[in-house]
Amino acid sequence: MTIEKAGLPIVHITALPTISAMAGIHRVLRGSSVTNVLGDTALAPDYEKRLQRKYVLRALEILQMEVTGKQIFTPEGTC
Amino acid sequence: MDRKRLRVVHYLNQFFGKEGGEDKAHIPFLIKAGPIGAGMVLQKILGERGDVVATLICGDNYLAQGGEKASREGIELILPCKPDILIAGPAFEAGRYGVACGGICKAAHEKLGIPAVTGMYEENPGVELYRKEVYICKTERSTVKMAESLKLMANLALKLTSKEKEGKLLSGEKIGRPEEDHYFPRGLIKNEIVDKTAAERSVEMLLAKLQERPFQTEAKRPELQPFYPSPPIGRDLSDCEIALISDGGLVPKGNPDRLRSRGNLIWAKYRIETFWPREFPAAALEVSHTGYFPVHVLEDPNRLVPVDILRDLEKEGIIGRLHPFFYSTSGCTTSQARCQEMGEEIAKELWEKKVDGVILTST
Repeated sequence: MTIEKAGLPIVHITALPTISAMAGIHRVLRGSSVTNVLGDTALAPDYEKRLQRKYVLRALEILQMEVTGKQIFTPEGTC
Repeated sequence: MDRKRLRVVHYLNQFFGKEGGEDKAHIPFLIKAGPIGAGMVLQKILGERGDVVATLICGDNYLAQGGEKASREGIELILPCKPDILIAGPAFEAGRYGVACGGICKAAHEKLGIPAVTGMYEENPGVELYRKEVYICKTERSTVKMAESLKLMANLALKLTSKEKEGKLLSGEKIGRPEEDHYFPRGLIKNEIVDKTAAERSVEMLLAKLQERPFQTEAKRPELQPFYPSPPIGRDLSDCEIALISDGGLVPKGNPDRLRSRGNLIWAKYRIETFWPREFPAAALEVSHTGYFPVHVLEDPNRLVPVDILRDLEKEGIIGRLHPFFYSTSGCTTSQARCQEMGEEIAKELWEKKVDGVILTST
């Protein structure tokens, strides 16, 4: 929160986005799960790597978006 | 007034329900007859007034992440028990447990119309998320206060006059103000008849404030003040420096800076080239955080902190560069005030180093 207040573009990736939004963060990306926020152990290793990359690219995309209010994003769209 | 023996269902997470620790945080709902663990203390407190007929147990991750759908599953399971009251937790300062308790209590009230009470420490994120819809008793931080907390919760539950669909009164007593019954204010406004008019009370409060005497506000302002969103990255991404931060407690093996796994108060920055070797990074790292099961992150740290992904993107020219330092802290039950301070300290560094964007990852 304080990093965002300082004016730095920041996106928070977490599996519990409501907590982050409640704290006031405007760019929140819903992560995969608590113990594996960017991946999925059910996937084969190469495919998990693809998922991790998808999350990071989505996060970078979100960092370039103008937001007017709190927004919880998913890898494909918004919540 | 004739009091019938109340049928109470007690909700516990996997740990207090004696199913396991973080390794069982993913388990779905299960239900057991009678009280379990702390439920037996609850039974003693209830005495003649009620029976803990069943204990509903669920993994913290399953319920906290599962949202309303998961809460409804739990409620389906307890329907056959015909509960009059749901008691959840108490969760004390455990964040996911608090969110889970809030969720199940809200669902119990909405779907069954029964009073549902839980207990949390004031900084538990469950408090702000649920206090308007759920009665949450104020507890201390520590689970050492289990019996006292259960007593507060049981007393409040017994006092709640019924909004049950059957319209039965549970007890003759009326719910009191938050301070009297030790729960977080719900933002409800109840009319009360008092001797002084609003004008008289306001002037008295203003005089007290001007004369620096203590006074009791009638309407408390919320603590978290909203702020404007930060601007987006305004330049081409291929020109930008991106920094990584995490509060998942990822540290070099040996934890040289002694980040605490619980109630941690410090952050550390690590030069990624040395902290995260290109080959087998997992061997050089460990996790200092008791709030989640770190086994997946220890197998592949990119699951928490995507260093290798960003290194690839830098090589491909998609980003300008990965900021050479990784900022690490451990966010298990750290106080809100200290988190804000740490954020300010890190923000100052990032600002001075002219970082263009930040990705913060949490568990």
